[in-house]
Amino acid sequence: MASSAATREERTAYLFLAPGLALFALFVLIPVGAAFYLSFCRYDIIHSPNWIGLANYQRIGRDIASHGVFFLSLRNTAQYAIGTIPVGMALALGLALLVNAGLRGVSIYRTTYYLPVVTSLVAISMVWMWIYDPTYGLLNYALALVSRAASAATGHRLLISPQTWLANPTQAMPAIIAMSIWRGLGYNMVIYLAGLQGIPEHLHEAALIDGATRWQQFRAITWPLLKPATAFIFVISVIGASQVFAQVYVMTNGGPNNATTTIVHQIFQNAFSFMKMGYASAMAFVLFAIIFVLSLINLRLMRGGEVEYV
Amino acid sequence: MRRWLCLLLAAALAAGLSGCGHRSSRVEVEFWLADFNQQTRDLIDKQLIPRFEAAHPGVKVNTQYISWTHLDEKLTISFAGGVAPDVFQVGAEYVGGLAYRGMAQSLDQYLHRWGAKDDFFPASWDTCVYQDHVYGLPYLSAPRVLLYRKDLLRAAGFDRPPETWEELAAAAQRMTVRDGPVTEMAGMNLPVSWQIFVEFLWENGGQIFSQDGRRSQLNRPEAVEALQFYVDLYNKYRVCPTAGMPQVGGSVPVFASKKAAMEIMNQFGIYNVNKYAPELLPLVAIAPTPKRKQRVISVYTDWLAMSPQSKHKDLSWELMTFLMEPDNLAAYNATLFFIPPRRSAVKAAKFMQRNPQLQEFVNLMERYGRSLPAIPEWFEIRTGLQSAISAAIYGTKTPAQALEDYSRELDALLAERTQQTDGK
Amino acid sequence: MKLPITTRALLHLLLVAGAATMILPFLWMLSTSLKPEAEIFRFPPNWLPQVWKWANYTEAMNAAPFGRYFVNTVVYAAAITFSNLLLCSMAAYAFARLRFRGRSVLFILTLGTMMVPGQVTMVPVFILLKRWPLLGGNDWMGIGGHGLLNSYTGLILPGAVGAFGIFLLRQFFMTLPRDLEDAARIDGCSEAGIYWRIILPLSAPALATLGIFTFTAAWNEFLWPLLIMSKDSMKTLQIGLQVFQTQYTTRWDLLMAGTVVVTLPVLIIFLLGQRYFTRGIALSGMKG
Repeated sequence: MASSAATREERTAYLFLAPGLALFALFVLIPVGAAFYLSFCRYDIIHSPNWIGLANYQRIGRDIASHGVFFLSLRNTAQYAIGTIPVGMALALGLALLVNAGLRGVSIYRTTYYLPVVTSLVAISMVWMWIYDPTYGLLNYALALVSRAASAATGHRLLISPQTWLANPTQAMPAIIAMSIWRGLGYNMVIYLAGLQGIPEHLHEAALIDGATRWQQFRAITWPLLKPATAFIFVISVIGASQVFAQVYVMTNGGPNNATTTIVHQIFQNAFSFMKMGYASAMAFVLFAIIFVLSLINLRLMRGGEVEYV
Repeated sequence: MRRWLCLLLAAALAAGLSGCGHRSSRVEVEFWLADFNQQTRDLIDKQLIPRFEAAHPGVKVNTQYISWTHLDEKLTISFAGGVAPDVFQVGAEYVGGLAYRGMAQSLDQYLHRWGAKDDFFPASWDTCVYQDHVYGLPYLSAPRVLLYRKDLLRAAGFDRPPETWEELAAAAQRMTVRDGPVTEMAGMNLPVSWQIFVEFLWENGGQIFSQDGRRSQLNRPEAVEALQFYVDLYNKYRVCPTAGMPQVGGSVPVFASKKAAMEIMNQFGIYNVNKYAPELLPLVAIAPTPKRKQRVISVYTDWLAMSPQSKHKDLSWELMTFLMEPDNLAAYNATLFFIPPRRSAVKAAKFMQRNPQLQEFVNLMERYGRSLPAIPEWFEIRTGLQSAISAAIYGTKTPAQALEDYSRELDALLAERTQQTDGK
Repeated sequence: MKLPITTRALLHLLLVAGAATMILPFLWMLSTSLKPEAEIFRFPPNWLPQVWKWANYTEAMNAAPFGRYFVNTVVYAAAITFSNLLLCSMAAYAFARLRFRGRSVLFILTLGTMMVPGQVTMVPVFILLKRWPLLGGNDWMGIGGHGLLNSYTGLILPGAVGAFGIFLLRQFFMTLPRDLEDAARIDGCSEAGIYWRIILPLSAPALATLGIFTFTAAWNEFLWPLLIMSKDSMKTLQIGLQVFQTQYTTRWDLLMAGTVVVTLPVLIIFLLGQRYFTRGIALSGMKG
């Protein structure tokens, strides 16, 4: 009886997987396989691909060794990831806890924080390009106001000169990072909220009866039970940050001076502007390898995501 | 519940299939435009195309307006999938790449019968030529000249526009007004752009490529001098705006917001002044760009190409020549404020005839106009060159170093092509 | 758990400050959408328009067939959301609860595809859709017509099952306690029954989350619809907004008006879906 139950379970599993997997295989797995094949070819999109072995990967290696454009894009992407992920996740968790704390007006807050996510990234990027505009932008205007206030207060002429932000090689990436954190907050907050909802209320009540403080409750109940959510958000954030593209494309197109070009930006440029699809695919799989290794490390660190209820 | 699901799926499928477009017996020509605004679309959709379709019964033209930012990916993927448009618009750097990859149809055999070639400005026409074959017809031209404020120049003590690099630097310095770290009035508004570098390079008698297009000439002294001058304007004479980059899609351009005394700009400079500061218009004049070893006006032309995959080549040719008729060409350029690349179209264009400044643009274009050399690798070159220029201006490399490094890269890039063609 | 009033006030202050930073850019968007072009770029910026140009909205909507685009976008977003919710939850259930050969490998493979940027799969998928046999004028070899290009099917199918959805739901399913399921299995309930009657209802927050994400992402999707549609009648709202941008100028007033209009439906759906985020729905049947 046990074996027939097991095979029945297997059959059910396959049945459940079948429709989704069929579509997935056709539209995701096979194209990814095709892209992998193309990474070993020279393919200019018009003529058939022709096999060149590891040449694309070797070229990437040479680029990294000589600190070329791809190397810069790796550096910028890493900078972006480090800038957005820890801060973004911490802020999102804080927000979710705040919103979940039973204050009045929760739905208004939730909607407001989700507003940036609901709007298209292209629209958001354009609005932020205005905010960062050196002459007419809101940020420089705020700086001017601060200068004026400081000058008035101290009696000296204090001037914070208008910054060029997106046109400045050192400020451009931090500017994009700031805007991305702003935008991504609502997204991660919503996932954390769903996770928080999944924590049974009676656990907190029991702890309260036992005399636990709010911090102790957080450490002993909330944080462990949020582990799956945190693991999920972290993996998704790493994947998302490594593939950052739209903001860069709209706001700076990789400039100034390659200060903001990212890996996917390079991939996109090589595939569609330079028509070097093979090289672009090779870059994509180098990116894949990096993310894969990072995710493995992450999953190992966050082992024990399943909590047993007593 | 399951029945409801099935019905929904079936409905979606039916809707999807029906969206495939009905199979009609009409001939359909696909036409992509990248330079357009609301008036252009009204002109094309409501006047030009209906007239063309009326003259060609059974023919339908599907006009798609694709913005420049996405033209590359749309073109690439459509060619890859074998669904390329019949006629499409591209920019100044495209001819080499398109011709080399077989994405543009050579029009030589059509031209014999047409005979209108000589009516076009040479600088505009050259934009569509690769290795002595013609791959398209010029559609809009934008020559770059020196735009300056007569009043500010006179106040600075100059009675005529600068003609040499030294005069340019001197005039710009006199007209620059700085308030601490902020530049209130930039003597010379220059974006950080490879196109400005190329302008100076040509003025200095330099070249980007060797005659055969296989080696870089960017590490020659003329090139280094040109870049040094460009960098000096920024960092030594400090006559450029503090916000170095061209204005982001739509905010008031520097010159029109009265924060610059001079700039190197195409006819759009006049358009912007007219739009944002019309009271300035009488004070704005144009002059040829300064000369060092030769006088050059760089001309950037957008043009129409035909796909070699097109199943209706003759019809596409007729569409192209129809759009090139002087009146139609003039009307199109009028909507966008560009210079029609054809002399008879310039005569037919009221907006040109009424505007003496635009006439001057045409004059300068006739006499000194020059377009980019046709090279297949322009997309990579312009990106790499832009990086080199930025590095020099932002001080991370000296001009000599930046050009030396990039020259090496460029040689390697050009060598790849040589290898490929030799292998064929 | 009622918090003391000082804590509550402080929390409100923090949330409001944060909310203000969230809203500020949208206030500018709104204000720009109501200004005439000449008022938009001014220093210092003015928040309230001197002239309230409501006509921007009508002009923006008339610039392109937005009504048709709206229909296309709704069909696309709704279909993708629905198919993701259904197919991803089924796959996630199998990964989370059922044992079968190759489960880990398959799951890692699924997860792995998320790590390959979509930009390099676009061309293969495009060619696949174009050469789809027997549809869109193609013969059985996939030659002759346009296949699934310019169709809803071609727009929807590639995104119908996303690895993201499978991952999200699988993680969530794994946090659900097994007691109810075990009890149901002992009672003789089929796996499908467990899935439909127990797991799904308990997963309302996660499903709502995935639904909102998928719908929003599809609504705002730009590149894929742009690439496979070359007929005006099939374009989506985001592509429609492009009409306000040209190489040298952007009609910010109309673009912002258009963006406001295009964002409203998703915002409304989010507001309506709010209740699924509220407490108490999940695990209410867990005591005892």
